[in-house]
Parts: sequence; structure tokens; C-alpha cells
Amino acid sequence: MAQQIVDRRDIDFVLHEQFMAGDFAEKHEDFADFNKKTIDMIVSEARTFAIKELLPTYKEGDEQGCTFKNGEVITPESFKRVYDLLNEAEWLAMVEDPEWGGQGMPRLASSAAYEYFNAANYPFMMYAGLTHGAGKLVESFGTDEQKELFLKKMYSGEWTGTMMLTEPGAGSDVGALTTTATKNDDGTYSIKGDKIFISGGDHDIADNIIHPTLARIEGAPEGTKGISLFLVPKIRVNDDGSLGEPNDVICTGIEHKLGIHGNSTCSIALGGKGECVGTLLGEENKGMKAMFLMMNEARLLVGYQGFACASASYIHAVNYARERVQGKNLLEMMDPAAQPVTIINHPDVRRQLMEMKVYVEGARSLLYYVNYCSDMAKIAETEEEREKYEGFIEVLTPIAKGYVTDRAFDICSQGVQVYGGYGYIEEFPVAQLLRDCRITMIYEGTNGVQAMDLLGRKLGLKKGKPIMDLFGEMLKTVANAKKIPSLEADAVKVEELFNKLVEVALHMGQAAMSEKVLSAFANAHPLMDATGDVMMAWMLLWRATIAATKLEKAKKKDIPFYEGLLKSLTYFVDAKLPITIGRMNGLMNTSSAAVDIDAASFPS
Amino acid sequence: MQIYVCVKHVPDSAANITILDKSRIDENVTFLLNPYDEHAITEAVRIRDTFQESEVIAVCIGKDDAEKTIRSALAMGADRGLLVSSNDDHDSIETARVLKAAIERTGEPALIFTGKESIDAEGMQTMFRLGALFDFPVATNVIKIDVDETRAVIDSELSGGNVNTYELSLPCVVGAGRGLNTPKYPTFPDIVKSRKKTVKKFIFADLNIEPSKASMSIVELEPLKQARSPKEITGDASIVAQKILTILKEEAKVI
Repeated sequence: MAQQIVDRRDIDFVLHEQFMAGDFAEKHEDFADFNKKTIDMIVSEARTFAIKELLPTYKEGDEQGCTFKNGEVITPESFKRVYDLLNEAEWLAMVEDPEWGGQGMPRLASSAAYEYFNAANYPFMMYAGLTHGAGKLVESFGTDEQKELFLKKMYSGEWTGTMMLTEPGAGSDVGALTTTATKNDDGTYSIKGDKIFISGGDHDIADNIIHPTLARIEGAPEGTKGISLFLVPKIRVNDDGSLGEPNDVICTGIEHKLGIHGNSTCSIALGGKGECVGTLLGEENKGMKAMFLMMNEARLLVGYQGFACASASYIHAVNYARERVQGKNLLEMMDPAAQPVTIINHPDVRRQLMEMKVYVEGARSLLYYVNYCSDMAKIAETEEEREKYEGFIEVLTPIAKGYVTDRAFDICSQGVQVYGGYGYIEEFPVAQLLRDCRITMIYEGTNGVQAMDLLGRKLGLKKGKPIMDLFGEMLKTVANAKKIPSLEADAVKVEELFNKLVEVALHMGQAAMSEKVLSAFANAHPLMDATGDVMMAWMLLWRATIAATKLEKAKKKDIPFYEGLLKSLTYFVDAKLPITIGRMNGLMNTSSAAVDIDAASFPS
Repeated sequence: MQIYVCVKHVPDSAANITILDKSRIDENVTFLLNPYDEHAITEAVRIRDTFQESEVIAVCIGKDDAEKTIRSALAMGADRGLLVSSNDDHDSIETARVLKAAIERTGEPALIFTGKESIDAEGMQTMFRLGALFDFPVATNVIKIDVDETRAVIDSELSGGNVNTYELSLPCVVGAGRGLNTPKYPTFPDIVKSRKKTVKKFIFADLNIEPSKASMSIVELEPLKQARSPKEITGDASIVAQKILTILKEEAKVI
């Protein structure tokens, strides 16, 4: 059994040395229970649960997958038991309002528990994660009656939840959906339509499934403006909370996928017999607005899913490289008597591990920072401060989802590479992590959609104020780093990179509002790459600054860790930053070739 | 009724143990509550809940870091903790004396639980030494226990799966075995609450433990080297099957 699936030392660093997670206990009465020691204990218990219970079901979940028999979805054998354990221990709604069964934990601190859970078995955790997200919709937009009827049972995990958006003709373009809602005399709505790709849409691990469902009320406007949100249970719920009749929500099949086999991906027929009833969640025709409020959170969660795969793949790769003996040391290549060494001694393997290290560390800090911003927004004393942190979340969300999952897949691929031929064999976990990770680049808004969001909405949001505020924060890090002589040279290079991004962002923003709009959007993904790189540089500089400060008085066992953080910065600045500059030069060209090329010029 | 549970802060069973200086392990690994002690805590909490005005006290000797293990016990339902803080290693003779001193200073035990062994030293001595020091009856590898005001009726599992049933007068010492119960994971709210429970700290030197004339110390630790040698099994299918069965039964002893 593995002892480690993620780097606990680095988690502790991000929580307590970079973002001072324990300080929230004194900053706000709602967080008073969560001082540093309590957070540490929660993280330790999350680790124990992840390693003892979730991890052993990871491979089994992949091999067994979900099956569809006689109209029912059967999940991997071990999932039901683990799902019950997760709920008995009340982990599902860590950060939510205690009034509705949540635990009221700061989001920053919950990051570590989510990382452990997802690194251990994220296809399983999707059932819980989607339930949490659907519950959050009920909490935010539900009537008192809807909350009473559904919310506690969702936050306790007794019933699960989904997000029922996608249809055969409405994927990235949600506005094209055709599911209809017809108002009944009693105020409920009859729902009719077909949904596809519904994660956790049907399963056998809980008694009921609550589907927040997007549909168009008869006569509503076309497009996204005419979409409403409904709560549609799989089994109808009586007024006293007991289960009633089936609600004509029928799973018609499941997908056979590249990865996340343990999570059912369902096609659902709503109201095939005309007996599917839902209640309106929020206001009529405001369904997209409600979904958008949830979008940031769901996208961040997907960032965590991809990142958790990368985080685990990195740890596996490091451990493997320390143990696997193969080949002589390069300097002793000609010596026939030289003994073979562990592969961590080979420069190219060391580079692969370094590559994994810098992006795992940078991404961890970035994701935790977004959650830190959520907590800061919650405890903000002024409206201005709250808006500032909410602005940061808005700007960073496409990067936390799009850029992080792009890099996460690269990292998982490196993890396979470190294992060599064995990495390609399913006996070792890195192959599954690679497969499972891939979907995170696609669902919850493809990474192309994320890039367009960054260019089209986030750069110019509130006349660019959030992004300029964020640059302000980044320059503070640079100023702190410059005070440390050993970091000054790197800090100057990072600062130049920041300044160049401002230039590129302005250029791209203008191009997007000019006749070059198509060319601009053809370059949206490279812009997300460059912006994400800059965020990595920011985080790595921030981390190195802390490490340099602490190194002097560090305990013996912490010295290699802090020195490693300094090396992460050096590696990024030496090896990666020039590539980012190159990306930016490419963006200044804003090549129109991709849009100018005639579709007929592609092979037929 | 006061129920004491002696708990030990041990390396995670999944940790890769590195031996330093031939006599100690590299402690830069995760330490946890000894798994057998989880059974002890779970049972102590169950018994507490059937007697009015009862409490469960987790007691531990170890470095300050061992407070984490006491907190784990508190999250699993113990009411308070005692930590005897010491940076030194103590043999089982001294450990039992320390535990007795800490227990005597804070209450009157009706039951003292230990795990049947710790997964690091595997000494299996603490419960017997405590019993001898207190002059209490002892039973170990306990897989069932029923307690009333004056006595405990226990099932103790022997080798080969045989079970002996004993009646012990209270107070007594009980070494918890794996079959006793299924420990539950602490709930999130219990983890948070456990931080608010008290852990009283003693400094080892302040307990004035009478030194023993006898002592034990580690001379050398050697890593376990699992020899792996391939063996070809030949013959037709029924002979191969028979040979495999023999190996599994007599060499591997797994069936």
C-alpha cells in the first residue's frame, strides 16, 4: 500500500507558510473552529481515509467500471461501501453552511482534503462532488420548501445530485437545448427531453438522485435567455420527505469511455411517458444565470480533479525513479565495473521529475490561492475588498480549469514516461491517472471555451480592473523577492515577464474588439497558455521568497524541501520562461493563418 | 467508571522504514495511532456509553508530536487525554511504570485497555506489566467483552483460532485484538470537537518514576530482506496444482 499519494510537506507549505490557513480562525467568527492544529488534523484524517479506503478502490473501479443491465446502472462493487463511509464521516459538504448540514470549513483548508480524496480516487469522488455542487444550487436558489425537502439529504449524501445540461445537440452551446417544461395547475412543471453525458446520472449507491435540469418553458425566448432551471428527482419525494413513485427519469444507456470508468456517464430520457415532474429552481428564464453562478465552483473543481491526477502521478514517478535500477551513471558509462544506478540519477529522468515538480507546485499554489480568495471575499469588511477578491476568482477560474488541466495531462504523461515501458502497462497506476485526467480538459467547458472566456470576458471584465488588481498583487511578490539578494536576478526576469503579459493582454484585448476578432480568438488558447505560465512564475517566485527567508533557520529535515523550492524557481526561469516569452511573441503576431485558411485546404 | 486506554504513536504501517545508526528509525515518516489501539478506543467508547457518568481517557508516552495520536483517539470518542512527554526511548518496564503513574495521578481506573501489541515494537508486554504493577487481572487478544459493575467477561483468541472465555474482576487490564470490533472513522464534526478536549501533559522527569534494576535496550535493528527466488514447477497440471497447494500450505502458510 502506498504511503503517499500527494506531497504532504508541500500541502502544509501552501496552507500554512504561503496562505496562513490557520489565521482565518481569528479573522472571522464563522471560521473560529479552524485553527492551524485543527486543519492539520483534518488533513491527516482526510489522508488516512483517502489512503485506507478510497485508494484501494481506484484500480478496481477502473477495471470493473459501470455496467448497464435491465435498465439499471451498476457501479463498481466496492463503491457503495466507501460512499457510505464517506458520508458517515460527514466529508461531503466540508465548506457549506452548518445550518444545512455543512461543516463551515474555510475553502482554503478544504483544498487539501479535496486533493487527497481526488488523488486517491477521483472517478468515485465525482458522485460526492456533483452532489455537493447540485446541493449548492438548491441552497443558493431553492425555496424554503425545496431546501427542507432536498438539501440536508444531499449535503449528507443520502441522495446524490447531478448537473443535467448537455443534450445531443447542445454541448458547448447550451442555448441550443430542446428539453421543454410545461407548467401544471399545481405550479409544478412537466419535463420532456433527452439529456446525454450526465455524470452520475444513474447508479446504485444512493436511494435517490436529484437532477438540477435545464429546460425551456413553453413560449420562452430562443437561446440562453429562455432557459430555466428545474429540480427533477429520479424518485418523487412526498411532502414528508419520504420517497414516492418513480418520476419517469429513465437511464437509456451509459458511455464506454477512455477513463473515469467508475463514474457512470448516462443518457437520460425525461418524461418519455409524460410523467416527469420538476419544480422551478430560481426564477423563470434565469436558469443560465443560476448555472453561471455555479460555474466558477464547478470549473475550479475540475481543475482540482486534473491537478490531483498530476499530483499523484508525480509522487508515483518520484518513488519509482528512486527505486528502479537501470543503466550506469553517465559519468561511469565507460567503466565496465560500474554498477547500475537508480534512474533518478539519470539527467533526463531528473529533468522529467523537475518538469513535473514545478508545475505541480505552481498549480497547487494557484488552485489553493483561488480558494483563499473565496475565503477572503467571505470575510471582507468592505464591499470594495469583497469585489476585489471575487474579481480575482473570475479572472483566475479559466486558468485554474483550462491551463491547470492542460498541464496536468502533460504531467501525467511525464509520469508514464518516467516509468518507461512499465508506465504503459495498466499494472502501474500512472496509466490510469493519464486516462482519467484527460476528460478534465473537456468537460465543464472545454479548455477552448475556457480560453475564449479568458480573452472574451475576463480580460476586459469591469474595464480590466480585476486583472490590473491582480497584477498589483503579483508586483508585491516581485518587490518582496527583490529584497532577497539571491533572488533579485530571477525576480527582475519574472517582473519583465509580467510587464510583457500586460502588453500582450492589451494587444489581444484590442484585437478581439477589432476586425481581427477571429484571429484573436484563434489565438485565445495560446493566450491562456502564456497567462497560465505567468501565474506559475508568480507562484514559484512567491514560494521561493518564503523558502529563502526560512532557509536560514530551517530545521535540518526542512532544508532539502526549501532548497527544492528555490530550484523550482531557477528551473522555471532558466528553462520555461524563455518559452513563455516566445509564446508571447507569437501572440503579438496574432497569426490569422488558422482563420484565413480555406476549410477546403484541409485534407478531404 | 473511568476507562483508560493506553495508546501508542507509531509509524504508519504503509511507511517505508529507514534504519539510522543501526538502532533507530528515520522518524521523518507519518506517525499514527497504533491500529490495535483503535479497537481499544472503539470498545472503550462503546462501554462508556452503556454506563452513566463514565469517561474514556487516552494516555500516551512519547514525544510532543504524540499529541496527534491522542487527538485521533479523542476524535474517535475519548473524552480527554494524558500525554507523558519524553524525548527518550523507554523500554516496556519503564513504559508500564510511566503509564501507571499517569493513570494514578488522574483517577481510579475500572478498566485499562491497551492494544494487544504495537505494530512497531511488537513487544506485547505493556498489558501484562501494567497488570502486575497494579495487581489487576489481565487478558489479551480480546475479541469480545461484556462488562458490568464488578466484572468483565471476555473472549480471548488463542493461536489456531481457539477461544478461551474468562471472567475478570474489575479493575482489570484488557489487550484489544483485531476481532473485537470494526473501528469507525472519526466524523468531521468529531475531529473539530476533539481539538477542544483537554490533553493534560506531564513531563517524564516530573513523574519521579522509580528506576528498575532490569532494563532492555535495542542493540541493533536490521531491515527485513525478503529473499525472492524463482522456482520452476514442472509436471502435468494435477502435479503442478498439488505442488502449489503444498507451497501455499507449508511454505507460505497462507492456506
